Amino acid sequence: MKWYVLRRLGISVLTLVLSTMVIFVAVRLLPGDTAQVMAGESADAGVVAAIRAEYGLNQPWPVQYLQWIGHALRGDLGTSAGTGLSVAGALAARLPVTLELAVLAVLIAVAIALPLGQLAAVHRGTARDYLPTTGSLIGLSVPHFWLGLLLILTFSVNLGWLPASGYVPFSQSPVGNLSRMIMPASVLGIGLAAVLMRQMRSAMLEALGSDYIRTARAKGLSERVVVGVHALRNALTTVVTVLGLELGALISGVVITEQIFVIPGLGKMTLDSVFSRDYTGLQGVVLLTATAYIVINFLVDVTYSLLNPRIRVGAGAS
Amino acid sequence: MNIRHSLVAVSAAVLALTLAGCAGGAQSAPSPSAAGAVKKGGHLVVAISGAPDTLDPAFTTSKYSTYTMPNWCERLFDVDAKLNIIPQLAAALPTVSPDGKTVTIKLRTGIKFNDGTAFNADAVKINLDRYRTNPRSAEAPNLKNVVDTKVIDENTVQLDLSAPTAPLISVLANRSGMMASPTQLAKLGDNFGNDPVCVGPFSFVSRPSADTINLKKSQYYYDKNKVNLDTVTFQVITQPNVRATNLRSGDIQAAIDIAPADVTSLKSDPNITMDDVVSLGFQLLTVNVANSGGSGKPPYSPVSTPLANADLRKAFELTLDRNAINKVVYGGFKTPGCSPLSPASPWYTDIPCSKPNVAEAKKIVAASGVKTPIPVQLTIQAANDEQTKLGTVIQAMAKQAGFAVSVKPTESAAGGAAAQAGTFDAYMNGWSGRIDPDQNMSMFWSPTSALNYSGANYKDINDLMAKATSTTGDNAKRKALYAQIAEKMNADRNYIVLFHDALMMGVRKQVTGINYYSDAVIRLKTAGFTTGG
Repeated sequence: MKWYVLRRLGISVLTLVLSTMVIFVAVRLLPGDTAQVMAGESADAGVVAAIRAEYGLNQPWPVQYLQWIGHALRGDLGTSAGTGLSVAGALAARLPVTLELAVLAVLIAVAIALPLGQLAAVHRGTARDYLPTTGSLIGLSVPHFWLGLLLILTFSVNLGWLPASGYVPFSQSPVGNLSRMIMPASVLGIGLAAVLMRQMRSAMLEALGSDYIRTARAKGLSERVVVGVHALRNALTTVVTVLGLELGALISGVVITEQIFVIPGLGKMTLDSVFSRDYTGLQGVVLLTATAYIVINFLVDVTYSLLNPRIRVGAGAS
Repeated sequence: MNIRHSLVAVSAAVLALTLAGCAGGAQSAPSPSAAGAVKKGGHLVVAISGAPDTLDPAFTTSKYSTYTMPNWCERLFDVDAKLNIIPQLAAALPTVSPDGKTVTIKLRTGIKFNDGTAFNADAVKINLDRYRTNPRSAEAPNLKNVVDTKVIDENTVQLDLSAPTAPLISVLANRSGMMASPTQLAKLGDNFGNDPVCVGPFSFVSRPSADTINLKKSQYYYDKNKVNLDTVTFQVITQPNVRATNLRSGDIQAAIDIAPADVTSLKSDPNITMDDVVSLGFQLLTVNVANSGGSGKPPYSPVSTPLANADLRKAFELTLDRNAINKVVYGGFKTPGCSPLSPASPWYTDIPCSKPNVAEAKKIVAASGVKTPIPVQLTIQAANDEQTKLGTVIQAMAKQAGFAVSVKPTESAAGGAAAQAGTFDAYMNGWSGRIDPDQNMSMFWSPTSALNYSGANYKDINDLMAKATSTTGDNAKRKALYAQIAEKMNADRNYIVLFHDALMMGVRKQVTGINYYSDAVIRLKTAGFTTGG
């Protein structure tokens, strides 16, 4: 187990290093000059040159990369070329917002997907299968933007139950926080639930058709124990893997939702950084997202190996 | 100050006021008003459609900074509802020497910055010198003719110019006129934008993210009895329909840049008042005529695209029906026009526009001998749905005369880069507009301007623009010169102005006192909630 974890850790670090290179190059391949965007379209060449010098944009790419990595390792992600604010400070302020949104979305998704996935699998071919399956198809098909506006129009404009937008820290007002987060978390959660529910149903069907389930039933175990303990545990290994991948995607996929609900999270920062060609801001936010993705995958791998010991044995034998 | 100076100043002021008063087309509107008295206190949330960049007036280039910053960073001069320049931190309009090369500004007395620092001539000199000399200053080009700033006494500054510069006063009614606290400048230097302190009805509190700016009522403001609100938040909401939805729900109380598609539903909402004024800005179709090596870098040499041909440009324009574009794309909310000067401006002169004439356009195309269909690539900014629609409508109109327009969607930074490099045939762009006519014309037509994407360089226009810029003290003469320039520009068609924007603001009915003029600045000094709201 120890070697398995260490090897996975090594792969994660290597992936992270390669990610930083890709991030660095990718943002510079975007058309448009960040110094020109900062200086304004009508700016003199002298002003553009001064900005380029100040932000080190006149240095060769390898030098810029090493400077960025060197500073990043010390926790300094630079100053936003767009707003002049500290990138690390902006990320520190925005990360908890996006994390809260992601966690709430996952909770909503899991609360919907696991019971419905089980229900659909156990009652395969009946109405209790068709209804959740059709619901998941709708959940997959509905665009976040449309669903978000629909929720705002219903619950904020027409019913007046929830605020339409904005963010209040939980520490400042738990009610204010949750009343503003429930709609965006639901938008994200419904999409995620659709994916998880289908995975859950497939995994449960596979588990329920396995030999060990037949054996368990032959031994006279109750259906509740067979489904809720034996089948569920095995089905969860697949679902946890998918959840991990989806969680990473969720953190990077909040762009639209944060735009609709005016939530000052990482998604909105990503979009703003792209449009303002804010290299430092964009590098910071993508680096953080990539790191989150890699760490989550690492944790999923470890969790997966705990749930299914054959994984680490197989990995060790290879 | 001698008598001659005073006479020049007074006559300039009278002329400016007379000119504005005579400008029948000038438009600007007061804010929506609601029934009931205004109460003191309250928190106002105003949605804006894009994020300001830095909040340092020396470095910002964002129009969203310009729209919001005057609430915490007043200027030496401002404009009134009819866009007449009026003193703000200055005590009066400036006096100009007979040779036009010395400008004297008297300052208001007893004013303090929002950190308690005294506002005086020394502070003005520090600010103007910073704008002129900081290597990163975006304002330096606007003040390039200022060779020295002198403190005459505690409340008087003098600007020495290398040449008479008529646009100077309007420059000082914009970002160059914003006065930062010398104490805060000394403390933060180039990071001033992170915690700006100026003179204003509100003081800056925080910017927790790029999208949110929090202000509170200033305790040092010279006119604080007129300020009603306790706190203000400028909230960036980029999506037009999200802005409209938030306005309807009441989460925000005012929103600018309401999209035409949302206007009808908002107008039918009994809780919302819609206000619109004609903007100083305009939408233009930039044609690449001679920008083969980058804008602002003359000499230019003609490019090889079809629209570099003056006859074909004329034919192309003759296919464009500005009124139809306005109705189809914008629901009739824009003001069709062909001059860079808006009907809202006191400098506006109604010049004749080309009327759509497809038959004539076809004749010109046939006479040119160019084989049809004539390929034209039109670059548009796809982030805006209306731009996409506009591109499609132009495509359909131009097709009637044999032009095969392919619409190339891009986003603003990439589009701007391509326009500067000259790698485009036609480019749809806009200009938010300035008070002074020069800054709406020379930005595009001056050979050395980075915005001269077309590569325009015409001696007659350059000479006339130089003459108009140096015409101080005779606004009527200057206005006539700009009318002449606009007609010449229209004949050359490097930039085909299509229409002037409508500034649309939606306000909840319990809010009153927001002053929203054609310069698009959101003035909240007298804003407040009504007692019935």
